[in-house]
Amino acid sequence: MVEQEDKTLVRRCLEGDKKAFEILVRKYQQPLMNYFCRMVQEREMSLDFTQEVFLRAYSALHTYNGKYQFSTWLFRIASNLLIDHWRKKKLPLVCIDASENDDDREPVQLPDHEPSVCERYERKQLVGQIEQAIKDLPENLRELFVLRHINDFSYEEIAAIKNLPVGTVKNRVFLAKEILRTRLEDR
Amino acid sequence: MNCLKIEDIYGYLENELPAELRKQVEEHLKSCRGCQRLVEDRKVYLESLSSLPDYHLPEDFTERVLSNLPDLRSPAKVWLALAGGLYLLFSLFVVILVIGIKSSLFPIILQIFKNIFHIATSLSQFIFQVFQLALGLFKAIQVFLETVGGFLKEFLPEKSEALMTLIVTILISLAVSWFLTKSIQSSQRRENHEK
Repeated sequence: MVEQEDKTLVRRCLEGDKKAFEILVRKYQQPLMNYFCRMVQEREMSLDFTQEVFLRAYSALHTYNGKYQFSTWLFRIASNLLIDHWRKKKLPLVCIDASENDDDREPVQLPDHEPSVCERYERKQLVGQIEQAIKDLPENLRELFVLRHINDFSYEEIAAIKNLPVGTVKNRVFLAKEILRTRLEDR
Repeated sequence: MNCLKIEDIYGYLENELPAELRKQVEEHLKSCRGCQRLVEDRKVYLESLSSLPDYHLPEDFTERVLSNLPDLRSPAKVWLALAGGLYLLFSLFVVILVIGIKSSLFPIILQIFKNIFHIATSLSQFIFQVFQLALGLFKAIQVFLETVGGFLKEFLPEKSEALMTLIVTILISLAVSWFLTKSIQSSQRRENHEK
């Protein structure tokens, strides 16, 4: 349904209806901003990147293939933009730690009732720690993790965005999750 | 069923397991306290991941994007422009041909068309050869730089790009000088031989 809606909007854009593109921008600006902020950690740069994705998408709208989801196409543009950025910056690749066997670990206890001031403070701290741990993930794992758990894409959609086999995406996201979890426990 | 793998726990929590495996997992969880704890642990963890806040966007962000939009290139417009251009060229060709046939200028116009055709053919051949040559040269330089760069990386300390560039430049200069000296020597030898 959402997919069909996007395709209708793209068709309207191609007919010259700028209002349709505005709807698409409003719909995807926040997910793209969340994606870029977690990937480059610079607000201004993330804003520029988010805008650039929309400009590139608009220029290339006639090449959009309706066989694919619009969101997947848009995030593929975003991912390519990031690859260009990293290539220019020539970031060193970070080694991926092997995940440990967690079978004997004690579960984390969190209450499920309304949070008190203290709990809210703790929650804020936890969010900060998660953000920091995401930032410390290797880029290739971080991107897949963000697409899955921040942008809520399915594994199949991520595979289409990154042009990778679904199994590879699943393995890498799993690895990212376990690295992140281990690091959170160490803090 | 044996105790659950961490992948299966995530698969279970994210509804990614096939129905059969899901059923087995559910059965196992009924009786295994250790796996129950692992599932609960990962569930809390996934929930905390999904509740991360959005990053703030400026209120005028959408307007900013819309005001910077380039001209839309729709496929219809591109095809229309192409078809229009071709039609114009064809019309021009027909007009010149008709004028040429009707007048005594026909042989001259025919010759002009022939010359244009010959020039276009030679030019395209020349461009193709230059392109091939440039591509070959570019690839050779790329391979050379990668090999030398990789070799030097082993010996030089980190963040010594400037030193690496200097060494590569010296190597290239030496190679060019050697090549030039060789060609000069061979041409001199050829001249002496001819004398």
